[in-house]
Amino acid sequence: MQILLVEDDQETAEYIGDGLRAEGHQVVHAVDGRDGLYLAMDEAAPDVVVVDRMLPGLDGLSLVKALRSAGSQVPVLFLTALGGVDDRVLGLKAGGDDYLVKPFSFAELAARIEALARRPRALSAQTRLQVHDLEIDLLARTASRGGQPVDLQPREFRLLEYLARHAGQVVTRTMLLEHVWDLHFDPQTNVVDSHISRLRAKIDRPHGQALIHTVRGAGYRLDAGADPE
Amino acid sequence: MPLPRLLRTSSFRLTLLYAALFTASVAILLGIGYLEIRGYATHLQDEIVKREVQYLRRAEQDGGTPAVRALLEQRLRQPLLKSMRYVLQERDGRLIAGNAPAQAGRVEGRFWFRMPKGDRPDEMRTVRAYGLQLRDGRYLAVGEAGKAIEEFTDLQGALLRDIGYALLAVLALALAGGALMSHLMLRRVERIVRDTRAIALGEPARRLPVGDGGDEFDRLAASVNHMLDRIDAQADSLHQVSNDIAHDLRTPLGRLRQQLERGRRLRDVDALHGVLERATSEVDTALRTFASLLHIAQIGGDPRLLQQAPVPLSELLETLAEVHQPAFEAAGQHFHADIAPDLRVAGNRDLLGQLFSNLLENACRHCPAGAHVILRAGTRADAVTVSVSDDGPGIPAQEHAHVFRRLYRLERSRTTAGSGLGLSLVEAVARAHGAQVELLDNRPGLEVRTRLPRLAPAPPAAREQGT
Repeated sequence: MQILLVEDDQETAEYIGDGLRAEGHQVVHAVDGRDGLYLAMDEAAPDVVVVDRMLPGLDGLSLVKALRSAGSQVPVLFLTALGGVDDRVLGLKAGGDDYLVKPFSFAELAARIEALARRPRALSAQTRLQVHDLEIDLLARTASRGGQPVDLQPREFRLLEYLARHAGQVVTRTMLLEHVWDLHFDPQTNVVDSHISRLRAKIDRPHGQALIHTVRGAGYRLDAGADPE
Repeated sequence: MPLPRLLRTSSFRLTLLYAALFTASVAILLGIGYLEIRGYATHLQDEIVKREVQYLRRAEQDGGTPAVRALLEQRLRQPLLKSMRYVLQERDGRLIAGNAPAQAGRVEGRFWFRMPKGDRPDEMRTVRAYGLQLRDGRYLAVGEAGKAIEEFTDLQGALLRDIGYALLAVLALALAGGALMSHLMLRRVERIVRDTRAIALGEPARRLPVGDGGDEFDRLAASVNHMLDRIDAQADSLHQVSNDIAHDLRTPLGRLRQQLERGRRLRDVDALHGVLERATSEVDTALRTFASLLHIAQIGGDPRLLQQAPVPLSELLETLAEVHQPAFEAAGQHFHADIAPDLRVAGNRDLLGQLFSNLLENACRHCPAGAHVILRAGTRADAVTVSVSDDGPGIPAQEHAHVFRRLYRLERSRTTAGSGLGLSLVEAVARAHGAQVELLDNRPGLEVRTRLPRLAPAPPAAREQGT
């Protein structure tokens, strides 16, 4: 996909750009806010915009505000070295869709870009999700695998729902904490892992084939593919 | 001591103001007294004159002006009445009889007039008089120039002189007292100036002397000393923190260096990848420590920067309990949450989440398998109380004060995972929310109790929207 990266630090830009290109994306790089805004509004509009908060010329917040008031709906991910207490709220208020504090792992960034680009556009229209032989009924809030019903707690259902909505994509632990529990900080221990192993016990263990895969150094992925490990 | 400096002191200026006010009030008091006495003397004269006039009027009723004249001439000769002044004059102003000059003005009723003194004609005396027109048109005036007024005038002079002396004495005393007071105050102020200058110039341990009098200077000195103690403590803790940071970061950086060193000798790609992975994780540890330190500094820097919004605490705690539950189970511990509904506090949801998440993680990390951990939340008076208690190893009482320090770790925890910043963050978040964190002995184990100012529960409609 086409990714616009607005980042003034050359080192960081190269690191992100190289990584994204290695994943098969096309990356356009702008070093200041004005160029970034111009490129984001370009006819060959990018699929995702990754923008640094602190930029010369036009800062990240103003860039995204201008982009939104011009009617652009392109998904925007903020990068910031600030990590201040209210920064995330400010970024989302300005029209950003996601927020990542430096230093971050590349896997985290890649997973979030993927999630933003394939954001389900019409949530309400979808009533069922299917991954291989796993079926999820979003209206009845029930799940079954291979025709056999799976008994899930409400929160387990939301965890599975989030994984299924991003089936085939890597979902990180922080993304799960944010979207399933609405917690926006990193616990020092891997509390998410325990929840995943509980879910596995219900979804995967009774069946031969695993659907929930651990992606080392990144997070989890729900699909029928083989485990890379 | 140079005099101008003494005169410049605020106490001396206050003394001057006080002396001026005092002088003015004494002057007003004496002025009122003077007017009172004068009024009384005049009243006495008026009484004497009134009786004399009545007497002469009765004579006029009996025998007309000739009778008045006869009586008047008779009275002029009486030694006892020598302070009386009489004027009987024709309609054209000519004096018929009397011992005072004719009154051209023919004033009727009470009045004052002046005339030369009998024994010293160059001096004038004031006479209190009463004038009336007789029935045949002639004019009669009776006055009193006697002792009362004379004595009063003398008294008045003496009085005013004494008042002047008294005022001078008062002024002199006030100025001397003010100078002395200013001198004493200036000496104490200069002592403070000298001491604070010495402290600023490199004697940080020095303190201002505090007398046992408890006066305003003692209080000022005690307050300055308290401030210096706080600054000292902060400087100490800053020193401590920079030491700890240097120490804490040297370890992962040292290990990183070793790994990179080893990696240079490796030819096998897989082994090299393993080294890179470990090196990355060392760097991540260091970065996390830095990020936490910055985060704590940001929260602690200025609590007013924190945007305060109502936080549904009960829901947040339920979520945290749910998130952490499997981790406790995985560690073989028994976790139980007892959370009162509809608790609300003002603050930042993310930070509060982090605070209680840290406390739960601490309990999980430091307690052995089989331990019981309880999360309780409820209200007590105007506060919301959240406590995390366990029956694990606890923290020795003498360590309670230290564990909130940045990067501080108990001896037995040196080898377990963790940055030594968890409780520092807890403390910073608590302080930003006006909350108190207490460590209590749970006998056995530890109870960490957080008290937050309570917000009233949300109205039902808002609550439904929130969930």
